Amino acid sequence: MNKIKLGFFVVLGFMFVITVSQNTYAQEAKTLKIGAVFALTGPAAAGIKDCMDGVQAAADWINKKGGITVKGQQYLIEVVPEDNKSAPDGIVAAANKLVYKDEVKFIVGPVVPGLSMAMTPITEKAKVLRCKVNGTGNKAEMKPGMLYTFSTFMEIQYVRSVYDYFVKSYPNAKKIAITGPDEPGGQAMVAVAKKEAEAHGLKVVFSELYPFGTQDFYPMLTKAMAQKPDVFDLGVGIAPWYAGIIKQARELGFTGPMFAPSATGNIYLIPMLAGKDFSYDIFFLDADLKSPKMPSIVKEARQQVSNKFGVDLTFGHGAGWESLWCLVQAIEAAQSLDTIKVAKVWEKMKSIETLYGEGTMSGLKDFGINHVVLKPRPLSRLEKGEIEFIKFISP
Amino acid sequence: MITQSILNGLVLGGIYILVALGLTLILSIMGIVQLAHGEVYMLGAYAMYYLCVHAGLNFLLAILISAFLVGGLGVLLEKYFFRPFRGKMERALIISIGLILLLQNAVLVIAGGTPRAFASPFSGMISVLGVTLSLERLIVISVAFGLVLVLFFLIKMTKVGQAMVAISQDREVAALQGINIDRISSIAMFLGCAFAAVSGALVGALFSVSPFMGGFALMKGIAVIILGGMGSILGAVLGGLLLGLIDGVVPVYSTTHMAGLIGFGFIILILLFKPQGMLGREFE
Amino acid sequence: MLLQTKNIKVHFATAEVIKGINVEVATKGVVSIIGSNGAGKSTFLKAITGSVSLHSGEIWFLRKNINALPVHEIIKLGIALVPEGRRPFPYMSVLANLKLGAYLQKDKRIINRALADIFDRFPILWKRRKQQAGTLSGGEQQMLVIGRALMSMPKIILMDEPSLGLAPIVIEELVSIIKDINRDEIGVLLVEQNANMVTQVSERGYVMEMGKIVLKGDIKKLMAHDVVQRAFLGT
Repeated sequence: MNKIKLGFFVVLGFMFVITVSQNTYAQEAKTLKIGAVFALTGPAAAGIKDCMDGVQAAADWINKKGGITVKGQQYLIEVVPEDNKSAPDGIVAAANKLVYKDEVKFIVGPVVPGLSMAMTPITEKAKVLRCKVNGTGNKAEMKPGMLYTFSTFMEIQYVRSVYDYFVKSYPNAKKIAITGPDEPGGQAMVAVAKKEAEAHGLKVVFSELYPFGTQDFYPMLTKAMAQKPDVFDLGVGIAPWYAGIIKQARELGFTGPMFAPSATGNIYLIPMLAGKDFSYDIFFLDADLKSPKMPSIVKEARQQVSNKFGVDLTFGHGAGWESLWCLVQAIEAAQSLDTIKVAKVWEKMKSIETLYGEGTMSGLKDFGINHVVLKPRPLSRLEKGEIEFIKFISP
Repeated sequence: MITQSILNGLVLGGIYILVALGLTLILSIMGIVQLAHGEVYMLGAYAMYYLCVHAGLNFLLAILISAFLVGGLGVLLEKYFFRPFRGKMERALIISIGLILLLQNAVLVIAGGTPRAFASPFSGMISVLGVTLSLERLIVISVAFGLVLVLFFLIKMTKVGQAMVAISQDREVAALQGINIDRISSIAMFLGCAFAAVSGALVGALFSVSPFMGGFALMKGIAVIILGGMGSILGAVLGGLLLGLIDGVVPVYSTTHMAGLIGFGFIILILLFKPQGMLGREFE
Repeated sequence: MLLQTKNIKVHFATAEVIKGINVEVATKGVVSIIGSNGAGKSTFLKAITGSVSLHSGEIWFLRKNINALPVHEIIKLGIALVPEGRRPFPYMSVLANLKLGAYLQKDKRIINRALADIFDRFPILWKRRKQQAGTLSGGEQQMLVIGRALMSMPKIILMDEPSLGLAPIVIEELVSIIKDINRDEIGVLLVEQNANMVTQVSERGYVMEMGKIVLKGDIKKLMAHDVVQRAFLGT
């Protein structure tokens, strides 16, 4: 009898062990695929490749800290990178592949607003939650009804603060020339900048959009300089475009201030491409990320990027990093992988961590939908080819 | 403002002409359209970047070396990629599209996607009669038009040049005069690629260098030879000047888009009324 | 023997266009090959200059086998071809055309002497020397391309239907030009359809049909032969 009892217990014990071990097995990390779409080739690729690397670095950093935990289940992130080839057809192909072949439920990217718009119908229809990197604020980029589209920030929300800073620092400036690339984001920015310039008592003497991919700005600048502006607002753009305009404007004899209420993607490129002698009296919503004045999380990101890619952290890396990080925070806040639930929780988040400090969700006023992270952003100057951090501004 | 914009147009024209000359040389000697010519131009810019920034060479010396390196690469391309398809337009097109991908991605892997720049030593400005021109741009104009003169001399005055003209008119009969077609094709490819490299190097100095800069150059180069006449050297020069002036002057008085519109308007007009281009003749 | 082909064959893809031809040309005496359109006459000449490659057989020139040589090497040995349809470089001047004929000659003095000789032979070319070759009349173009061939100072000239499209009076002139050339110790291999001209200019000849030599020998006897009568003289 005893033997039977013993046997019974042994079998029970085994079953217990198996169940428990199966349980712990189930508790082991699963993989969560997250798509990342950026321009790796084509005219928009310059600098934007950093965003992709930033996403990869952030994924490593999050995984190292234990990944994402949803209802006790641990998930490690696997980034599925896709090149959008800087073109609408390229991004549509990339989006279709991610959504229907890889079957991802979450996507980060891209940067260029026009490309983002080309992708939105696909992700919205498939209920794929997407956090785009940056954005300018064209009405078509972000509007009510886009339930699954979020953004790490929208440039137009910061234009007013940058003009505040400008008129305070340059009280004598009267005439402004405003430019930007001829694409939906650039158009939106120039429109907002014109309004803000006039609201700040400046006279807009010149405003023109240059075609995507322009290298020779002489014709446009020749025309602008004939209006004798005191200052140039360079609108949105990437470092090579800014550098081209700066170099050529200086060559044509413009010595006044130039600024952009926007990030450059890689501010170190500007003195490199425009020349140190020409890189003076310029400011951007961008930062020398090596500066000791940066928050400690920036230092961590720098470490991560330099370990993985052997390069210094750029603003582009940071932008990619934040897109993944914000998305992950939303998933954890919702404690769900259901994109509808995550979206609902995300738009109500009062606090969301970013590289430059605590941010919050905003956008209801500007876009009719609370899908935009509003956060402090660094303002930096270029003097004698050196980048110097001024302060964080938050609208 | 008009003088300033004409000077800008000359700078652009010089760059376009150098690219178009190479395309037109290759087209007339080998009977193919080399679509990867833009990538050859990009390689010239990168060679220049490495020679200037990493090897620290003198600017003009670096241009010379970059032209020779890329010209040498052209000789290899001719021998191993294009010679078997001489005169076979469709196959050469496929080969050159493959080359575009190969060269672009090779540079992307080696040098990365970040645009690069190098400073030329001519950073001064010249200001005459209210017109400002950087020394850099003056160098571009003089190098470009200097090379055009060199090419004209070469074609008119040397045996090799005359052989090129002969091949462009009748390849088979040219061979019957004892002209070594392979050798002349090599030389044409060398010159064409070297010119593209110089153009790329100059653009690199003015603007920046990126693996994707070639597409723009190819587009302009093809537009120029359609405008000027396929296979015509003088046509490439005139076409380049015209397109450069359009791109330099029109945006100042209108918009950049209008410049593109007028440029292509010209091309359509030319094709309607003189399908061979301004100075072209029928091309077999 | 100046030029000799031994059983040469040429294939275009799978078709045999030259089916084993033996031809001999000496310096003295113009040799003609007559044959109708499509008999393979032009292809045969192109095989000699290396413009088309041989399938089999041998070509000997001045006791040297030239089978495997590229075109420009063959030209260098002293063979010149006056192509069918004349084909001057149409957008170059007459002078530039002639100079290209002496492409392989490096010595300027020799080139100038040869030029003087050509202008002596064809005074009309001197008058037209600055004109674009494409604007000359057919007869003038024929003089030009013969002059161009002579500029290379060849040991043999191959002529591919020089009479094609020319007026009878010009053909007369051509006959005396060809005789003059042969008198100057330059071998001539003439390929023609014009039986009348062939009879005037040469003593010995071949008849080619469908890529084969069907008859050879004294030109007058050839012309009297049924085959030729039927094929060329239409009787």
